[in-house]
This record gives sequence, structure tokens and C-alpha cells, in this order.
Amino acid sequence: MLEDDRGALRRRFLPIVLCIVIGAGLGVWHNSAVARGSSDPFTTVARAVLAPLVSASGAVANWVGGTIGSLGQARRLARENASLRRTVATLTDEVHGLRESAITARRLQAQLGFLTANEPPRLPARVVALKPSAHVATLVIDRGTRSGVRSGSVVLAPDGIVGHVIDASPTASVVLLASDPRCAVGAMVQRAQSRAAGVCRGAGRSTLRLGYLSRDADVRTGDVIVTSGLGGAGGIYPKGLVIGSVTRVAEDLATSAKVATVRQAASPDTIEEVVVLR
Amino acid sequence: MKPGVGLRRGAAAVSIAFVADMALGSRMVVWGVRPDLTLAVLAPVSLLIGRASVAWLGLLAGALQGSFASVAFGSLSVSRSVAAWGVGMLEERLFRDSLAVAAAAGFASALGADVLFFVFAPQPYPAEYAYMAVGRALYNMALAVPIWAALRPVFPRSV
Repeated sequence: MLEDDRGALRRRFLPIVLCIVIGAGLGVWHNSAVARGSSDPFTTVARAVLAPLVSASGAVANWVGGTIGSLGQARRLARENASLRRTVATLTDEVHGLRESAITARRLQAQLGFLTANEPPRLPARVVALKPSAHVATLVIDRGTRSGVRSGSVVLAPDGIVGHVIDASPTASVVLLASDPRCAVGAMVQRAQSRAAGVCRGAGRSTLRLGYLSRDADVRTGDVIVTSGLGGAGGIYPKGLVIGSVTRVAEDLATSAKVATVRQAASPDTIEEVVVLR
Repeated sequence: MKPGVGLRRGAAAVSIAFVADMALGSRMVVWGVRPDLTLAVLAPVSLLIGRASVAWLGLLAGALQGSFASVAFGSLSVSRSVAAWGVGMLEERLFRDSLAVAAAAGFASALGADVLFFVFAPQPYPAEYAYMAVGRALYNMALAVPIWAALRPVFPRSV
């Protein structure tokens, strides 16, 4: 009788005890591999096998959604197209002007003896999975160490920074989004009259909190915030990349320093392609 | 159903659900809440198999999610294992044919997994986390019913 009870208990509780031990062990193994800048074999195999399947499923869903969505929207698309053509013409003019300014700035920097950093090579990548876990703001891209991506590589979208790579396996990499509370980026106000510097930390839902500002920092709603090239996440973000724009400025009651809420420029919820700075 | 057959079918269902979750989950956001499709399939599968060994399916689900999320790998694996085990232990098949229990299992497994995850890996904004966890549990509850109905023929009482 006692033997039967023991057997029943073992049948009920042995699987969960083993799963807890193995799950925790896998977690420790994974974390230590990531800390070394590599990836554990389970993760490497899972990503190598499943990432192409996820990518293909996403492409099919996109195609179906796009086909259905575009039906009956021809008139709106034509209007939008005309508006975009006008915007492109305006921006092309602006680009020509900015190119001239950049050439002049580079020439003057050279004359004054400034050290100029080389532009890191850019690698296009496709987003395979967006926020794979509801608890962590990460995304998976289809490029890994075989393409030169490494832990710490900065990831950009056309509108601004997306985040940085925290785990690179041979064929895919995981990017920690700038809006995740674990991500901190050295930041400053782009406006020439201000240049107030602080640290942007993720606050969830595509927003960041710009803190560590001085009490008299000149920060206003609408200000564009760019990376300062200092501190945050080991100082891996080069200077001058757009983070987002200020939506609210408040005072921290504890320190009476200013704190700004920043809306991330690149919308991670709709992102499909990114560029990796290697 | 033979334990091995049920677990193999369950593993296939959870893996397919995970791929669908990664590919489609971000397009299914309602009021800022995204469902956990992997858990939404894991709960009915655990209910239909109805054994303590479904904890292994929870471990598979958590490890797959952890391999793509990279952060909190262990917390994801353990919380999913416990959630699956809890549903599987509903007195071994006694409740497997109830639609209401399938919905309740979808809700409880999602909420339970999120609560356990919070215990293992505390999050910086608890109020927002709680809102998302409850929203996700309700979303998963709604999804669990059709998923349970679709999977029921795949997991008969005897294979």
C-alpha cells in the first residue's frame, strides 16, 4: 500500500521536479554562454531550425494581409503616392544642401585636426520575430555571427535606433529594444542651443525616460533626442543617431532634476527590416 | 492514449504553435495586449493529455520561447513547465471533455505562468505588468476554446 502511494507520488511529482531542475540548468547554461559572447547549442539549433520557418510563415502572412488590405484602397494609395512624391522632391533638395554642409564640416574638422571616426559597415537584416516573449522587449533578426554580427552591434531602422544585439548565434541574433527597461543609452538634445545630455532608459511601449539631466537643462516638448556616444550599455551607440522626440518634460520630485518622456522614433511594433552596424 | 504518442503529438502541436506565435503574434495585438499563442495551445494539449508528464511540453515551450527571447531563459522554462503540469494534473482526464474547463485552463495557465515568471524575474513596472498579464490571460482564455475543439480529435482517449 505504502509502495503504491510512493509510486503514485513519484509519477505525479517526478516530471515537474525534473523539468524545474533542467529548466533552471538550461537558463544558467544559456546565461553563461551569453555572458561569454557566444550562444549555447540548444539556442543555436532552435534558432537555426525555427527562424527560417518563422520567417517563411511571416512572409506568407504579410503577403495575404497585404493582398487583402490593398483591395479597395487604390484611390487612397494614389493620393498617398502623389503626396509622397512631393515630400521626396522637398527632401532631395534638403539632402543636397546637407551633403554640402557635411563636406564643409569634414574639411573644417580636418583643418582643425579633429580625429574622425570611420563609419562602421552596415548590414541589412530582416526581422524574423518581434517580441518573442511578452515579458521582454526583444526581436530576432536573420543575421548572426556568420554575417559578422556580434554581441553589442547597434541595430537601426530608417527612423532611428532600434536597440543592440545581446545574443548572437551563427544564423540569427536577438536584439534588445531601446524601449526595454534593461536598455540604457547615452543621449542628448539635438537642438544646437541646448545639447543637454543624460541617459535614456526604456520605459516600455515604445517610450523611454531621459534622466540624469541637470536642473536647468533646456529640454522642451518636441525636441529631437540623439545618442551622445557616451556611457549607457557600455557606450556602444555611436554619436548622433536619432532616438526619438520629447513628449513630456517633468520634474523628478526626489531630486528636482528634469526628466523627459521620449517617444521612440523607430516603431518596433511595425518594423520589418533593420540595419546592423557591425 | 499511450503516453509516448500523446507527448509526441503534444510536442508537435506546441512547436507549430510557437512558430505561429513568432510569425503572427505581433499582428494579433488588441488594446496593447498580445496573446501567448504557445501557451494558448499548451493549455488545451495538457488538458487533453491529462498527465503529470505534460510538464515536459511546458519545458519545451519555455525553452523555445527562451531561445528566441534570450532574456530570462530559465524563468520562462520553469514557469511554462509548472503551468502545463498544473493543467495536466486536473485529475487525469476527469475534466478533459468540458469546454468551460478548457477556457478556465487557458486563463489560469496564462495567468499562473505570468505570476510565476514575475516571481522568478521581477519586472520594473508591476502595474503595467499586471494589466498585461490579466489581458493576456483573458485573450488566451478566448483562444483556448476553439483550439481545444480543434485539438480534441487529435488527442482521443485511446490512440
